[in-house]
Amino acid sequence: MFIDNWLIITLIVLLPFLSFGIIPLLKKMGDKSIAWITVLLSGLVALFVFLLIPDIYATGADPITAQYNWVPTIGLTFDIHIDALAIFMAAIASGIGFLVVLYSTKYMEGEKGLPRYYALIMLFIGAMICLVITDNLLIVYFFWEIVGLCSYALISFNVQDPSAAKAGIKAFVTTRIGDIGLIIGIFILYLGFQTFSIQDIITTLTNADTVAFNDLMVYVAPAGFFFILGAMGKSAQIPLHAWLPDAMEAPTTVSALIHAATMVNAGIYILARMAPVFVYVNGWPTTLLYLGGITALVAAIMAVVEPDLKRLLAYSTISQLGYMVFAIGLVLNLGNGAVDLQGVFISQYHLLNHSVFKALLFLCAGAIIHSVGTRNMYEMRGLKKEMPKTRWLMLIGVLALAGVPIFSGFWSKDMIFAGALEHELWIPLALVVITGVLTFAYSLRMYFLVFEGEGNRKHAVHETPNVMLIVLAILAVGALASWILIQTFSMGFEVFGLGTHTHYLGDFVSETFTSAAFGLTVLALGLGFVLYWFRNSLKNNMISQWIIKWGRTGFGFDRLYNNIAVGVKEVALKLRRFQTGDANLNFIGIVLLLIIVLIMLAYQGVF
Amino acid sequence: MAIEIVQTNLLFGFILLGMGLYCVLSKKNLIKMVIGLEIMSKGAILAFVGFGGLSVQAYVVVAIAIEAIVAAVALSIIVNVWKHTKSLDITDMSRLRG
Repeated sequence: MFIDNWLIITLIVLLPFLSFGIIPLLKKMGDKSIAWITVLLSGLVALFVFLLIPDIYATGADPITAQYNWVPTIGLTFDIHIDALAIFMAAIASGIGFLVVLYSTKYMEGEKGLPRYYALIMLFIGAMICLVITDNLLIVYFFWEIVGLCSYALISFNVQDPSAAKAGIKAFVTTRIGDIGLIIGIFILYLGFQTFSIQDIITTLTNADTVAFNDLMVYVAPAGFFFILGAMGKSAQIPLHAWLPDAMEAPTTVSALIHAATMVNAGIYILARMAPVFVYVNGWPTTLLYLGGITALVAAIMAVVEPDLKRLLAYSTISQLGYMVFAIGLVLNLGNGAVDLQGVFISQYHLLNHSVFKALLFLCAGAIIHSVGTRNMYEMRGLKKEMPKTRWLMLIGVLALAGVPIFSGFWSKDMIFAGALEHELWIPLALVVITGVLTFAYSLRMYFLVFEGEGNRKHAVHETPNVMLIVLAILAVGALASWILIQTFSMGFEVFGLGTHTHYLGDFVSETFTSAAFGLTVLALGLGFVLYWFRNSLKNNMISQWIIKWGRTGFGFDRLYNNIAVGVKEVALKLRRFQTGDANLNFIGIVLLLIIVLIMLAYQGVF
Repeated sequence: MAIEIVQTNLLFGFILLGMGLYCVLSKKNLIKMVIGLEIMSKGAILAFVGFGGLSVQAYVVVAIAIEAIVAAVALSIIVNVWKHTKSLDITDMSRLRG
């Protein structure tokens, strides 16, 4: 390598945060210059991340490590530990991030507050990269919070729209529940291991003898479930999923970033990262299986009945995230310290494919909404004449989402079915296969509603501008071909012991098409098509009407959260009486506290 | 002799602190509260002098200068409050929103 790795890592860490500071200062230069400067900066970040990939994915590579002292007196360091999983997530965040910024140059043209928008996007990308490359759980938590903060600020980007502001607050509060779970989990792990380093925790646990191991499990077991809570908030698993559909108030570029590159991947990442530790916990994988399976199914049902294009995509994201959580649940404790971590690889493989096609779908949806001016699919109709290029690109994304053979979504979804089949997990398998049926049905419904049929529009609709089309085309190629990376990808994961054997491309293709899981995929697609075909005759009975009515109101989750919020507000208004605002009373409080502290110190024998 | 001076200084420091505290806790007038704050801090400085003797003079001078700054800032806030509400009563300021 012609540049020192340490230098590259330092640049990767510093550049996004420097840009976050600098971009708002350039306000005088005009929105256009700022947009292109951000394209340049995010391109540089992506370039540096991609420069590290050959080092990691070459056979027999070592992890790239670096260390920055942060608070040396108490031994707090910003450790960097880049392995196959970390560099992969960083590449997704920076690569998709770069494409989104490039797309924004045209899409966000003429909006107010663009310096804030671009600065926050750089911070978002930077925080996500730092989250995945650090080895220190405490630092993971800091960047975890920054990611949450950025998503809040970007969801409410349109500050004058009250519904956007509310959606931002909802996202922030809902993910906060998960964040608290995560920090509790981290502290419990610290109690057991006396370290925040993930690698140290894994080595300690795998090298422990039986007695020490049993002692450690007392801490690991509860921590595992608190980590699941953290991932539930960030990765929008039921019941903490309600913020993601509302987050659609954000500009579509932000939605694409949240869904494909940054925010929701963080939860999947932390589960995958900690899976080698928590796999020993009884019931941890099973919990993930059911959590992921039920989330995937319920979200798919809501997607089937959703009339809003962006919300439909949001539900499909929740459903696909359910698949990923499910895949992590496929890890297995074989006993005697041996573990099968195949599930970690499957989930990351699905994450790779999902990121690409979901970014494609969102950016296509953005282009459509940009030119049609509505998000309701029933008001779109018949766009294939007016936007022929967008139509073909979106079709690729839709087929990849549905898991139609040879498109990227198919390969990873097939692996998930195969994994569940191999472990003979019948009920979870049924959950994901039914989800597969529904996925194909709602994908078809979305495509046909938007592009087929007859639209009646008063104003003319224009084709997507060229800059945006280039980005869409790049992503479409990815959605067609990202699965081909499996050989390199699985080799990297094998080298770092993240639970897989190398899948050689030829073998992988022939194995996929001859496995029993392929039959399940075909079955799911067939049933999905039947479901779509007979949609009108299926719609009129009681059960369907009930599902439509409840699915469109989010199965009551929103109402539940609303009631909780109202209740908390009432309690807060009652508690408010204690805060009189009288300066004399406040002073008395301060003095009383001082006296109490003095008395406590006297008891301790300080004087 | 020396011990007596320390004790006297401490005693007067404590009295000043108590007076200032009483003033801050009970008075409703903003100006009076600032005066109380100043008296309190003078008591603390006196105790400091009592313990430290000659060696703390520099610190005490700095502390007095800071006191003056605090008083100036507080008074400027009070002037603005007066302009805003035409009142110097602390109970009229129980809400942050003006």
